[in-house]
Amino acid sequence: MLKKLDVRTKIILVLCLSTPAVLVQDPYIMAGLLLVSIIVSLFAGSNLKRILKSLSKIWYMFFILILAQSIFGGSGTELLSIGRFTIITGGGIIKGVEFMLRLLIIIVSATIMTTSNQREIVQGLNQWKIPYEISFMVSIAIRFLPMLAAEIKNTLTAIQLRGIDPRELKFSKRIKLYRYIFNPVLINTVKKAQKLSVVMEARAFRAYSTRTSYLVLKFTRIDYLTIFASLIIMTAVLFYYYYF
Amino acid sequence: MDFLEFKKLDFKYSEDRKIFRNIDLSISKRICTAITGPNGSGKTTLGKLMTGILKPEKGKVFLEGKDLSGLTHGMTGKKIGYLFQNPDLQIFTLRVSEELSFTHRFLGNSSEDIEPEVCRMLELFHLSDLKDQIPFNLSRGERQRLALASVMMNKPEYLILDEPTTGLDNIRKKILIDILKSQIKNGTGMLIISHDHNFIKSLAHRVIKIDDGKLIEKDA
Repeated sequence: MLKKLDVRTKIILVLCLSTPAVLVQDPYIMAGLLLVSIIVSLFAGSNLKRILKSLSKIWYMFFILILAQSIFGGSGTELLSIGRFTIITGGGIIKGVEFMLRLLIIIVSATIMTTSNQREIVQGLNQWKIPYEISFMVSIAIRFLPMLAAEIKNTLTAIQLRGIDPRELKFSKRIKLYRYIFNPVLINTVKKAQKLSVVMEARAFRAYSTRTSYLVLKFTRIDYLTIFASLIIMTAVLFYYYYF
Repeated sequence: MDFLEFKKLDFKYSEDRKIFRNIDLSISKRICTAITGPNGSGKTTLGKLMTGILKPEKGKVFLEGKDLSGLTHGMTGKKIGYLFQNPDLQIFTLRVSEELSFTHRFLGNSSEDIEPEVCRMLELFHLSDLKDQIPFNLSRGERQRLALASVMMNKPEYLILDEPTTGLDNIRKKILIDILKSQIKNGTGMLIISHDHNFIKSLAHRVIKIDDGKLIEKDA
């Protein structure tokens, strides 16, 4: 059912889920929000499993965050210390968990947008009277970001296929090696942007002040209902957090 | 035991884009093998499966009897030199001569050891005049030659060349054939992925055509 939602409804839905995640600082409410985000995302038909699998590579970041919050935040009961130097505190763990939940809510809710195609997103923004130039830039970003990620991965593979195993290198050399990834990625990105601008000119981009579109989005009853329910739930969560 | 072996291998990009089903293939290091076939038939995919860039859906790829899934790209790269279809993917530095010495510097070889070989490669691939240029500003053919020269700098046991003649004029193509012939003579095995029948005819001892996911042996 949620798969067929208008892309504008999905944007409002994502905002209603991610806004409280930024404002609220209560791990219980945030855990509830995460659960709702997961359920909505699954009903919207997003490939949550794949996204969580790719996130599994950065789990260690959360432990670093807990450590950083404990060392530099220093609130709550001291749980682990070396001499006079505090390593982990209760407050640090809570703050680290809050950060992790916040990040997960934003990522999981954003997956809802992946169920709409790039053309629908641009059209949704256009129908919200956002200038076409800006919505076009958004569509370019949506199109090129995964390509950029793939290019970074491919370049690292190509470097390794030259017979260099990063794990065999000293730390300083490994850092130096990773620096080389950005030469081709950066230069190829600039080249692509140059080519794209020429192609756009050749196809008379902005030649006319008004644009017509074959695709026209229309809100249905289910869209109005979803927007209404999302706004009510978001207001209720914020009201509960600030006044109770 | 052959150098590269595919055993009951399946590969697909998606449910509606299945490339290989249950294929077996053995590639010898002693000869030059060519892979040919129409666009989108899976020639590049086959090369990428051989180097572990792509992982098979089912079945296994063996490199000198070792399961490729257990080897890192670095380990594979020490045995196989892979030339990508797009040379831009394998140019990393901001100077042509630096590109050639890239791997050796990371492996800790001294400049005195590397320099003569860099000069030899620059000469061999007609890049001497361009040695101080930024590789990304070179023409497609020049970048292709640089990428191949950089791969050959490592002296790999086996070369996989994906469309090596793209962007090369007839003179450079002829020079490339001579270089590759001398490599084969010196014992370097080779797999060429190409559409260029004359190029294949000049080098290959064995020709495999990919047709509708099947591997068909053709006369060399």
